[in-house]
This record gives sequence, C-alpha cells and structure tokens, in this order.
Amino acid sequence: MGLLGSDERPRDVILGTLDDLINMARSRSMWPLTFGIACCAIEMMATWDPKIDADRFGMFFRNTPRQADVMIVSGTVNKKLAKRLRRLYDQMAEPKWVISMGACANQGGPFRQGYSVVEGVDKIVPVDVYIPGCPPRPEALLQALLLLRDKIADRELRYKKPREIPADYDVMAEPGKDGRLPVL
Amino acid sequence: MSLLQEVWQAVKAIGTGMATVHKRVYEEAPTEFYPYVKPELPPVSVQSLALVENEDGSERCIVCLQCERACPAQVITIERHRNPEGKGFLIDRFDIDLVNCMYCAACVEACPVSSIVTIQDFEMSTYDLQTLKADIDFLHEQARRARQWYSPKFGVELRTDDGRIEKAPPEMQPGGLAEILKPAEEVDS
Amino acid sequence: MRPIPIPEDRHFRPRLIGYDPQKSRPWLERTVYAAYVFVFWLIVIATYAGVPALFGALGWDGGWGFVLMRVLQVVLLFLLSAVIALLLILVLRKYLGKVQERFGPMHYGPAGGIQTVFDALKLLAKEDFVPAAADALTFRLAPAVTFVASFAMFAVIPFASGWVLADTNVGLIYLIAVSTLSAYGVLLGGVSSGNKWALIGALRAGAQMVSYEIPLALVFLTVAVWSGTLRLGGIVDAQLGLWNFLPLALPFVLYVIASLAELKHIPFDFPEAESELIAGYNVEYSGMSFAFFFLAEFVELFLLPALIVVFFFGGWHGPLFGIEPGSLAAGALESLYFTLKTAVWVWIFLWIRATLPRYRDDQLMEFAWKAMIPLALFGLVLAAYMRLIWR
Repeated sequence: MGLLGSDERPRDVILGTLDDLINMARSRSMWPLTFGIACCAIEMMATWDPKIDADRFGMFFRNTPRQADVMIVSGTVNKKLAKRLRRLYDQMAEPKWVISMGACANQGGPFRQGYSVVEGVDKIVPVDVYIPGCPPRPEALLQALLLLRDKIADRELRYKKPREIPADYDVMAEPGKDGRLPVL
Repeated sequence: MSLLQEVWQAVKAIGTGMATVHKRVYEEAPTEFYPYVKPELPPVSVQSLALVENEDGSERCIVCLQCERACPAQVITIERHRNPEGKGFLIDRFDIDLVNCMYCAACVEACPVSSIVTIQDFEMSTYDLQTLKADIDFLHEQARRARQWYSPKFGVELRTDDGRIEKAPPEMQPGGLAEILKPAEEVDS
Repeated sequence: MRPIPIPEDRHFRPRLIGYDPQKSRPWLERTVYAAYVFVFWLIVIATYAGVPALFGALGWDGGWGFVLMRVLQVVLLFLLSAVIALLLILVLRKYLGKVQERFGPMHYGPAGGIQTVFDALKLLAKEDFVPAAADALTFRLAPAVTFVASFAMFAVIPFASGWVLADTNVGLIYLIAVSTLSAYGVLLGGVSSGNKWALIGALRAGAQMVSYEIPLALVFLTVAVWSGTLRLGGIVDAQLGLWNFLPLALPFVLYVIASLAELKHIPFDFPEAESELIAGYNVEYSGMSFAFFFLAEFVELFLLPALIVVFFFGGWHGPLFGIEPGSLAAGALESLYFTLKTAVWVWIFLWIRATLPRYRDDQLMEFAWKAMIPLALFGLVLAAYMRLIWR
C-alpha cells in the first residue's frame, strides 16, 4: 500500500520520503484483529502475555476490524468459516495485512484432504507471512509479526503484494478435476 | 446498619485491590526479549525436523520407509532404488512437507537409526511457502546448522566444533538420567 | 539464553532495531514523561503569556487583532490536546504493562517514547471508511462533535491566576452545558453507524452520561454554594486557606465517581465494553475519525482531573518562593503546580482503570439514581448549612 493508494513508491524526493515515513509508522504500530479460530489462538494469546509481550513492539489487539491492521488467521479454516473470514478481511480498512499461522491455515495441515477444509487460507485472502508449526511457538508468531514489520518498512519489499483474490471468490464453487480443491 | 457495613466492605475491598495492583508495579517482569535474545528450549521440544548425516558425510538413513509409514499427516515422500553395489537402498528423493507437518515426531520415534531427528529451531516463519517444502539438501542443512538434536534412541547428540558427532553428557539428557544425577537439594527445591 | 546467530539462506530473521540490553530503565522513562510534560508546560506558557505579550507588543490587542490572538491561542490549545493524548496513551500503555508484570511499548524511541507518535501517523494515513448503512453526514460529524465538546472545556480552565481564555462569571454553567454536549457526539456516532453494536453502545452511553450528568451538576452546584461564585478563578481563589476536599469530602468522592462515568472509564466503560459490544459506539470508525474519538477521550481524561484540582485541590496554588504574584515567572510556576496536581489525579484514574472490573449495566443505573443523586443532594444541603454557620 503506497502513500496515496498507488502501487509503487513515489519517485519524488519529498513524496518518497513521506511515503517512507508513513510506512515506518505503519510498520511500528500494527494492531492485530482479535480473531482466534483454533488451538493456534491459544498461542496467539500467549504472545501478548508477560513472557513474550508483543506490546513491546507497539502491537495490541483491536476488537473491531475497522481499526485493525493485521489479521492473524490462527487455525483451521472450514469452508463455512471461509466466507466469514473473507468478510472480516473486507471489513478491515486499508492498508491491511494477513498472517497465516500454523499448518492448517497454511495449507490445511493434517486436515488438508478433508471435505470441509479450505486447503490454505491464501485461497481466500492474500497472505503476507506464513508460520509453520502445529501450533507454532509464541516466539514464532512474534517473529512473523516482526518479519511483517520489516516487509512494510522495506522500500522494495512492501510493494511486492501477494496475489489478490477477488472478494466474490467462493471456495465451494471451484473444485478441481478430482472433485477436490487444488493444492497450491 | 447493614447498608453502612456493606459500603465499608466495598470500600475496603477496593482499597485492598488497588494496593495489590500497586505492589505489582515494583515486581520484576518475566519478559524474555525474544528477537534480541533467543530462548534456550529443552532438547526434547519438537520445533523442526532434520536429517542427520554421518561424520564422514555418508547417509545415516537406511531408507527403510518406516517414517513415511508412521507419518499421520502424510507429509514424507521417499523414493528409493536398490543399491547396485551391495546391501540396502539408496535415496532418490526424500521430501518432508514442513508446511503441513504437525511436528508430532512420530517419524523420529519410528526411525531405527535415529537419522531423522528433532531440532529446536523455531524461527521458520517465511514470506513464501516454497521455502518450507524441504528436500534432502535442506534437511541436511538443518542438521548442520543445529548444534544439538534429539531422538529417542540415541538421546541428545551434539556436533562438536571439529565436526564430530558425540552423545551429549548425561546432565544434558532429558528424562530420568538427568534427574538422578542432579544433586539432592536441587531436586527437593 | 544465547545471542542470535547470523541469518542464513531460506531463514528469515527480523531486523534487530531498538534494542536496549538493559531490561528496564525507569529513569529514562521518567525523563521521557518529563519531556512531554515540559513541552506541555511550554505550550501553556506560550498560549497564556506568550501570545498576549506578543500581540500587546505589536499593538494588535483590539478589534480584529484580538480575534486573531484568540484564534492563535485556540490553535495552540489544539496542539496542547494532541500532546496530552500522545502522553496519556503512552503512560496508560506503559502503566498497564507494569501492573501486568510486563513492559509496555519500549523498543521504538527512548524507552518506547515515540510509540504513540507512530500510532497517530498510522491512523492519519489509514483509510477513513464510511459504511454503506451509515448516515454519511452524521457519521462524519459525530467525532468532530465529540472532540469539540471536550475541547471547548479548555475555555474556562484556569492554568494559573489570570491564565484562562474566558474568565467568565458563568464558568460553571458553561461547563455543565459543554460536558453534556459530548454525549451527543457519542450518541450520534453510534446511531448513525448502522450497526447493532454501535447502536447498543450509543444508547448505553446516552443513558449513562445523562444519568451521571445530574450528580456531576449537583456537585458543581455544591462547589458554587460553598465558594460563593460561579467563576472558576473565583473558586480557586476561595480555597486559599483551606482546600475544598476537606469541607466538601462527600461531594468530592461523588465527583470522582461521576467523572469516571462521564469519561466512559473503567469501571463504567459500558459504551465501549470490549467483551460485550465489540468496540461499542466507535465500532464502525476507522482512521482519523476513530483517532478523534480517542483524542476526545484522552483530552477528557486530562480535563476532568483538572477540574478536580480546580474544585477541590486549590487549583494553581502552591509555594511561590517570594516571586511577585502576577509576573510571568509566577504564572509559569503556578501552571506547573496545576499540571503536576492534575498529573497525580490522572495517575489515580489510571490506577483505578488497572484495578477495577466492569459493573453490570442495571447496577450502574441503580447506583446513579439511588445512591449518587440522593447523596449529592444531601451534600448540597450540607454544604449550604456549613456555609451559613462557618462563613
């Protein structure tokens, strides 16, 4: 997300510097959405506890998607949940980022060939950072959040947006040849 | 009279609560400064998988496919062919899909030669999922980067500075042995 | 614990910026807070002494010059409220962190000192969204109404003797009028959002703020009866011998409770109860509109403790060390006393916020109508009798 909604860094010296400044501010004040799905959400809570304390880096939960910047998809996404998740993502105000936490959110994990499971949350929303693990440690989530911070603050990296998925994309409607969803 | 008593109790309770909260301000926080200081995890904690080579660079793995069979998430893919020069098999392909792996370490328990081991490197977050589709080179690299690893058969093993692989001393081993060798007063406390 | 190894291929490591090897630096934190308070103090001096002196020297203190001077002062006060919000949000986060045995924001800036500046910049650049179900005009207007209603209370707050924008003799009535207005902003914002959470939050806010407005106004009246004036400067001057919190102990306690409710502060944070209504009345607000709600909330968190100091703790009074009253140095010293007294009360409010849980909604209303208002009336009558007997 550029300064004025553009997709590349302004070449102007003043605007470019302003763009860097604004993105520095964005990277240092990422407020995640309070949105936990499964067991990874327990680790997500533990990331804000006194031992790890992600608030050191200026991150704290906002309950409403309008005021949140980062969505942490923490758990198995069912096809029924997929529409709600996409809706929450659409409700977030630009600029917004997504972190996919744990094996289930990344590609379905142990449930990846189940009839009801979305095989990878990046089929529904564009994902910026992936965390492997089942569930990942709280430190791993903090590492992912800081990687996202570095991505936003970096001049080149922040314009490498993940593949955008149209808002009316329906996971239910697009099975593969074998009747299952294609694996990315 | 009871109303006044209730009010007094409420005031007293609020006062006690606020005093308790204020005491907390002076207590030391247990925060670990993660990105700057890396936590030392116990050797049995399963954070990632690695494939150990022998000291001379040859495969420790005997390609018995036990791990592939044991894997509940079916993320291990092994292809092999018979060794034309002698006994056993050679590896064509050894992939672990670390994206879908649920780090249950069933493969580590199943491995008869402790070739596939658990390591404590949890910093695996990535911008691109393809970096986590581990092939055999990546798994070897994981083992080379790790200073210590664990498998139930051999316990904790160390890689020394000159590249040799040693079994860790008993005090580093998890479980019963370390508890026995601890001084008695430490166990009591 | 061992230091981190060098990053390698296929392994992404976060950049290590802002590290302070020493875990906590209380003196650095205090220096940061003191720096914010110093900036605050400088702006106060510039507003109430600098600008009039400048215009007086230029000879512009009549007609349009006077209007220009007032406009400049209001702009400076807006800057002041921004500084207040930046400082109070930082202090709140760090204090809540300490209470919960962790560190608050600490890696960006000295001891995390510029964290809130980053937050403000981010909110400035975030998308300002109007939902399709919302009434766009009212939705846009509501944060402004809320902020202006809080901000307008600055007009009668005396920072030192004579350092007040409008030293009017109806100051108390003005305060009652203006503080009621902020309920309108919240109500309009919640109702116009077109969202059920926002609607419930707004209705709760309306009921709560109107209910607690009555004991608040009765306490104002008690103070007026005791001091014999409606002018805030006069109330402060009347406390020269004895601070009001001793003779008016009951109204003082009622004022603290009612101002907590007026602030929508824990334990009375029903309008934005996170666990019940997602974010209450501001659930649909994003970006700068939300920031203005936040700004209004924290400006009020400064203003209502400031009114406690004005009404009950002798306002700007303090030892002057032989400086001639009325001079610039005396004014600066008095405004510093005022600021420090207010800071203590803000800290007590934050302490309450860190301790108490939330009430239940019916208990809240019951408390207002069955306990607060009778007690406030009793306090009023008592103050009137005491006034008749002792003064």
